Amino acid sequence: MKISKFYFLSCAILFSVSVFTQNTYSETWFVNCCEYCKENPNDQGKIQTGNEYAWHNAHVSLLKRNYKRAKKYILEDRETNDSLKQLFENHLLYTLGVEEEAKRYLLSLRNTSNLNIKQFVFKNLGTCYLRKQEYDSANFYFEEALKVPLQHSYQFKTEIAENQAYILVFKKQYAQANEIYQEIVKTSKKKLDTHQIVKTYSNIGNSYFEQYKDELAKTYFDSAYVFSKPLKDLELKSTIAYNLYLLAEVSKTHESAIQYFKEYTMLNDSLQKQNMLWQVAQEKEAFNIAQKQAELDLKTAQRNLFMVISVGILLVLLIGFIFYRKLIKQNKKIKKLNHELNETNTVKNQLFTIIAHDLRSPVARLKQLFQLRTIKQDADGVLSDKKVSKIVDSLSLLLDNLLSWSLSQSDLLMVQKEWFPLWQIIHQIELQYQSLIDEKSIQFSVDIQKTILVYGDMEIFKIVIRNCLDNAIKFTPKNGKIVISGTVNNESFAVYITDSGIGIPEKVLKTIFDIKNNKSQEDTTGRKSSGLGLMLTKSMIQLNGGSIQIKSNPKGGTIVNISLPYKNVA
Amino acid sequence: MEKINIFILEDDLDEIEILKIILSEEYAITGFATNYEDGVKVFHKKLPDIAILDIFMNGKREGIRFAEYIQETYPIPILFLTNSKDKLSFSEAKKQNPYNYLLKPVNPQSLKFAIELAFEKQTNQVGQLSTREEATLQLDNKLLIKKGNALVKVVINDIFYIESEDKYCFVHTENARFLVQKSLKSFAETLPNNFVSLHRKYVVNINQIQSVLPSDYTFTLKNNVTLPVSQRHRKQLLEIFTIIK
Repeated sequence: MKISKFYFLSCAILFSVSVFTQNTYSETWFVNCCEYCKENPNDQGKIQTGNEYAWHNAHVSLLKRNYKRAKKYILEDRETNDSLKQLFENHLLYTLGVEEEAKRYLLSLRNTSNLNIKQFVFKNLGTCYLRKQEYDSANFYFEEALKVPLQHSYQFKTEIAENQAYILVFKKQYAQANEIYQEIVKTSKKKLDTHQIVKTYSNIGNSYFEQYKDELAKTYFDSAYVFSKPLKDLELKSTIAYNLYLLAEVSKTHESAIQYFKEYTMLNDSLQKQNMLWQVAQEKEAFNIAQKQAELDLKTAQRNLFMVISVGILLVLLIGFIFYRKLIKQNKKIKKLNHELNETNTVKNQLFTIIAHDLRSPVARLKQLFQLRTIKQDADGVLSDKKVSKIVDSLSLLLDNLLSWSLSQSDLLMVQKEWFPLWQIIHQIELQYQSLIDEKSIQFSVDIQKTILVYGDMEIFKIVIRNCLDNAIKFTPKNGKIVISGTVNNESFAVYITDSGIGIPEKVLKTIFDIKNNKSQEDTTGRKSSGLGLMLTKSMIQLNGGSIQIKSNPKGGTIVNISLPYKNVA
Repeated sequence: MEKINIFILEDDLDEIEILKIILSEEYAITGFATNYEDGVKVFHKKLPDIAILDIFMNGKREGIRFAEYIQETYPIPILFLTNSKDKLSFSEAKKQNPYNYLLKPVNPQSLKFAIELAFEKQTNQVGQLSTREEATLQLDNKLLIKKGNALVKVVINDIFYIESEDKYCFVHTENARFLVQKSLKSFAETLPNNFVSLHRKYVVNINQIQSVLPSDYTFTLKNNVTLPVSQRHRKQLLEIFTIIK
C-alpha cells in the first residue's frame, strides 16, 4: 500500500505539470493574446526581432521553457497592456515554483470584470491549490472557472476534468474518477489526442492500481504503453514503463519487470540526454539571439547615425538657403544702392563741373576786373562797376541755387507754405533784373492781377521765378520780348513766362529737367548754361505743391508754365 | 501820424548800417543791439511796433531766443534775417510759426515788403496792405496806413474825422490827411464808438470836437476845422453836445 502510494504520486505529478511537449491551457491563453500570432499563424513558434514583437517573443520563450528570456522580453514589452504583462510575469513565477507569490496575485484578481482573465485566474488558482494539496479549495476554484460564462476550450475542459478526477482518486472516490477518465478518453479519441489518451489510460491504470485491481490496472497500462509507442514524449513513456515495472514487480513477473525497468532506465537516459541537448540548443539559441540583438543594435546605431547625418545635412542646407536668400536680398539692396550712388555721382560730377566753370570763371573775371581797375586808376569806374555788379548777381543766383539744391537733397530745406501776393514777388524779382533787361533793351511786362494770392513757400517760389527769368533773359536776343502773365486755370493759377528767345530744341525739351543729360546750350552771348537752374526749378516747384511745364512758343521762343493754388483778395 | 518804430538785433554793424540806410527815411529805428543782453535793455527803452532779428548772432541762435523773449513780454510782429532757409537755423523756433523771414542780403523792396507782410500775418489779413496802393490795416488801437512805399501809423483816437471821397476815404488828423482805399461805411464799422456819423460825407471823432454852433448846424474841431451836420443828424449832435457840455 505504501509503495503503491508512492508510485501513484509519481504518476500524479506527471499529469498535472509535466506536459512539456504540448501546450497547456495557460500557454495557449497567452498565445491567444498575441496580435502577431493571429495575423501570422505560420510563424507562431518563431522569435521575431524588434521591440514591437516582445510579447510574441515572450510567449514563444515560455513555450520553449526559456524563462529567463521570457522575462527579458516581457520587460522589453512597451505595447501590451500592463494587466496582461503582470499575468505573464506571475505565470513565470508560478512556473518557477514561487507559488505563494503567484497565488496572492491571482487572488487579488478574483473580482476582475474581464471574463477572459477571470477564467484564467480561477483555473490557475485551482491548479495552485492542487499543487499545495488543498483539494477542496482547488475544487472550488475549478468549479468557479467552469462557471465563468465563456466557451470552454477542449484544453480547458480536459485539464480541469483531469485535475478533478485526480482529486477524486485521492479522496478514494474511484467510481466517479473513473467516470471522468472515461469521458476524457472519449473526447480525446474524438480529437485524436493520442498524448491525452495515453495519459488518461495511465491514470486509469493508476486508479485501478490504487484499488488493488492489478489485472485491470495492467490492461490500462498496457494500452497506454501501446498507444505511447509512436509518441516522442520520453517522460511520459518512461513513467509508463516505470509503472509497468512496478506492476510486474508486484505481480512477481520478474522477467517482464526487468524488461520494463531496463526500458525505463533507457528512456530516462534518453530523457536526460534530450534535456542536455535541449539545454545546448537553448544556449545556442541564446547566442544566436544575442548575435541578432547585436546586429540589430548595430543596425539601429547605423540608422540613428544616418538619421543624425540626414538631419545635419538638412540643417546645413536650410541654413545655406537662408543665407543664400539673405545674400540675394543684400545683392538687390547693393544693386539699388549702387544705382542710387551712380545717380548721385553723376549729379556730384555735374555739380563739380558747375563749380569749376560757372562759379570759378566769374570769380576769376571779377579778380581780373579789380586788377584792371587798379591799373586804369578808376578811369572806367562806372562801366566796371556795372560789370562787377552783373557778375556778382549771377554768382549770387548760382550760389543760392547750389545751396537750395544741396539743402533739398539732404532734406534740410525748410518748407513753410503760406499765402503770399504773387505780383509783388514777381515785381521784386523784376527790379533785381532791371539792369539786365535794360541792357538788352528787352520789352518786359508783367500782366497779373495784383490781388492774386498764391499758396506755397515764398522763398522757394522766388528761386523758381529768378531762374526762369534769368533763363528767359539769357536766351532772348536784344530788343526781344518777355511777358509774365497769369490766368486762372481750374483750381490753380497758371503763371506763364513767355519769351521771344532762341527756343529750346525738341530733343532737349524732353529731358530738360534731368541733370544727367548734358544739354548745355549757348545763350545769346555765346556762354554755356549748366541746366542746374532748370533742374532745381522742377524739384522746387514740386516741393511747393505746384507743377511746371516748358513748351516751345509757336511764335518762336519758349513758354514756361507754373501752376499753383490761388485765391483772389480783391 | 507817426513813423513805424523798428527795433533791430544784429551782430554785424555793417548790416545794421545798411538796414538804417534802407529804413531811416520812412521808418523810425527806436534802437538796435548786437547781443541778447543789450537787446533786452534797449528794447524796453522805447517799445517798437516791429522787431527785425538776425537768427545767428555770435555763433548762437540768439535771435530765436530773443524772439521768445519778445513773445513773452511784449508780443509784436517779428521779422527774422537769415543766411539760409535750412531747417537747422529754425530748429529752435517754436512759437514764431509761421516765421517771417528774409534771406540776406536784404534789398529795399523785399525788406519793406517783408515788413508789410509781417503786419498782415499778425492780423491774419494777408494781402490787405501789400496788394493795394492806398491801404490801411487796423492793428490794436493803431491804424497802419500805406503811404507810397512806406507804412505810417495813426493812433485811432488821434483821428479828427474821416471824409468820404467816392470809393475812397480821406483820414484827417490834426494837420494832415491821407487817402485810404476803403469806403466810409466799411471803414466806420471797424472804428470804436466815439466815431459818429454826423453827415453823409463825414465820420467824426467826438472827442476832437471843440465847439458846436446849433444855430448854423455846424461844429468846430480842435484844429479849427468846421464841418456841417446833416438835417437828420441834428438831434444826435445836440445829444452829444449836451453830453460834452
